[in-house]
Amino acid sequence: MDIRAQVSSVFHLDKCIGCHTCSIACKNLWTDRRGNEYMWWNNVETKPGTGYPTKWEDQEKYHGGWERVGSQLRLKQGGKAATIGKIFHNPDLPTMDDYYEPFTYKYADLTNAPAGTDQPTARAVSMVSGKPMKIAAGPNWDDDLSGSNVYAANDPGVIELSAEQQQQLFAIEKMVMFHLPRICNHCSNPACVASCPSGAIYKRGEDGIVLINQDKCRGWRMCVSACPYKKTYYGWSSGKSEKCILCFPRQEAGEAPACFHSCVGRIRYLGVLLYDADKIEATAMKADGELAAAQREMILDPCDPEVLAAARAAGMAEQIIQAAQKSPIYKFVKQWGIALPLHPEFRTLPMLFYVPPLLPLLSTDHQGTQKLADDFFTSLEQARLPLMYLAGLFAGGNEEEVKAVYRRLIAVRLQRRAATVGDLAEAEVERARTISGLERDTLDAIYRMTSLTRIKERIVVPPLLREQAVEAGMDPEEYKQAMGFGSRKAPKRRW
Amino acid sequence: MQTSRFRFNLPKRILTLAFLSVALPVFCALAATGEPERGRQLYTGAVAMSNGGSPCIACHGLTGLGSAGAASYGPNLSDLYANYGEEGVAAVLESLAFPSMEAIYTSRPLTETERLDLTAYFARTAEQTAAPPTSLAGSILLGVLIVFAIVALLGLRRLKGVRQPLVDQVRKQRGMQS
Ligand code: SF4
Ligand code: SF4
Repeated sequence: MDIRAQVSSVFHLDKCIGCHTCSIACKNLWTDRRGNEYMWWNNVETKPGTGYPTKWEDQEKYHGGWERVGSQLRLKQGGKAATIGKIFHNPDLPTMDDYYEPFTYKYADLTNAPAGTDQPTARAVSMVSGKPMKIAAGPNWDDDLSGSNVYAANDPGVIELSAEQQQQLFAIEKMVMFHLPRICNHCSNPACVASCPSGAIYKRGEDGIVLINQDKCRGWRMCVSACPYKKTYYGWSSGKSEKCILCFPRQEAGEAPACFHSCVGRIRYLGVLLYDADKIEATAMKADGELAAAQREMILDPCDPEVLAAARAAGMAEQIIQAAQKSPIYKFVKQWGIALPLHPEFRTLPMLFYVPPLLPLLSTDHQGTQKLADDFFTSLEQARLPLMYLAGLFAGGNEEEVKAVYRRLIAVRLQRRAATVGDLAEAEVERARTISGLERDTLDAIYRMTSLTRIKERIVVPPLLREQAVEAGMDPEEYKQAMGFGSRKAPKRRW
Repeated sequence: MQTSRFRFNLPKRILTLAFLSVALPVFCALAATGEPERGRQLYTGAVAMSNGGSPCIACHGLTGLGSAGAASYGPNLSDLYANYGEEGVAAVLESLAFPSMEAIYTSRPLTETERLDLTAYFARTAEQTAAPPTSLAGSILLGVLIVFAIVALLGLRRLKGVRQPLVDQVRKQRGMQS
């Protein structure tokens, strides 16, 4: 057993209101520099939709993530030799239009306009060329299903569905959608790390945060194509690639990452997971449908004495172990089994999990709750949002995984309905509990965690003990004040 | 002692010289075929001229040496032997009385054997079917074109934009202008 600690997250999709506050918090903090305008370490997509960059999920186009070749795992964009072969002409990079051409408006034209009889206007100008431009795309261009005939219709998950299911999805009166906020997953089998020819990307030992060393990065952009989630970005001014740093400077000061802290819907949970790094390879080799379950297997119980002994023997700090025991992520993923990884079939073993959205699910008569005993299952299977679509997103196509989660979420809802509205027979609630396989107390705990918790229970930032590591080389106080984000050395190439 | 020995040897020496003065022209006539292979080495610079003159290949083109024999500073020497014959070539090599060559070869003349070997080499070249030498510039151009072709082929697999084709496709379906 090779025990590692990982700062992981859960996003509860039923609660996301699609306000983009998280994206703005991140942009203001980290990517408002020149050449970085187009990059959104945190972005929020509407599903169904093609996302940002357009159709990032379609690895037949982008060649991101891993694939199984015989008994081996290989980067889809090619092994080491292939990487060297195309080092000067990586063919798999998204074009600017697939992200979007960053733009601003000539606001000065409003205030400086001479007095006249017509309203002054602020024209859009490109932030790349500085010339007036026609805006044709943006990072959330298909927000709330806008342009759905182009974008939602071409969602790689939607294309997989039968014509009938597509109809169901797009029936105008019954239009369904949900929001999918995305950040770097800080994967335990990161494709970005494996692809870097300069060895500039690494996974921090103490917390599993994946970072790009700004001094070592040579701007080859192999990580940009290798990351199947398209979560590394090339900085056009600095000549280096950048990605979500999970706000490690904030975490080291005991603060939640900015997107977590600012989240209006309180959908974001954070905590430490302990996992067995020896199992990474075997897990990533599993069949598509088994990946989500195998990844759960990799995660260890932080209260199991055997695990504790192994963790201590490996030199893990006591504070980290304590944080792992309080981790809401462990509950969501392991104990309750209601959070799944996004696109596990990319085989990077993402460490960000999602509670799939239940809200638009039950569409049959009476909100699908009345004739519970008769058609509990049929109401689930006739969901407005086809289960297959959700299984394609969160379980490598395995509908059973998604169904199991929904049965639990439905049980929580029915139990609360019986308690607050009181219009359900206890026998039916009991039946829902049996089907879900969870106890009354557990269902209550899920309800509390999803509805009533305060920030310190949702976001359990472990003490990262960075000061101990820093102390060895420099005064921690000086370090704190002198070091911001990454590199202090100006890059040689700059325009 | 030495003087007496010199005197003693004098008649013998005179005899030797006399023999040589008769035999040498005959010998030279026999050796005039030279060694073409050595001539090639001298021409290409594989073997240095003993007086330090630069190899012919530096300025003159010649068939049979590929694109390396395509220098164009001096005239092409492929037809030299055919035009001037053995004696003509020998005479030229002896004096090398051209303004641009004088500067080099008056102080670094070709030796007798070198001249013979080179002449033999020119003779051999003249026998070969005279394929015109490929010009160096042409070869470089070809190389550059091949590199461009490879780059263009690799570029074919490049991702050329995902979003715009989706939009165009829908516009086309609806018969709209883009
Ligand atoms: S999501 Fe992408 S960038 Fe983040 S760790 Fe995984 S492979 Fe790397
Ligand atoms: S801030 Fe929270 S609720 Fe708003 S879009 Fe981001 S994740 Fe969703």
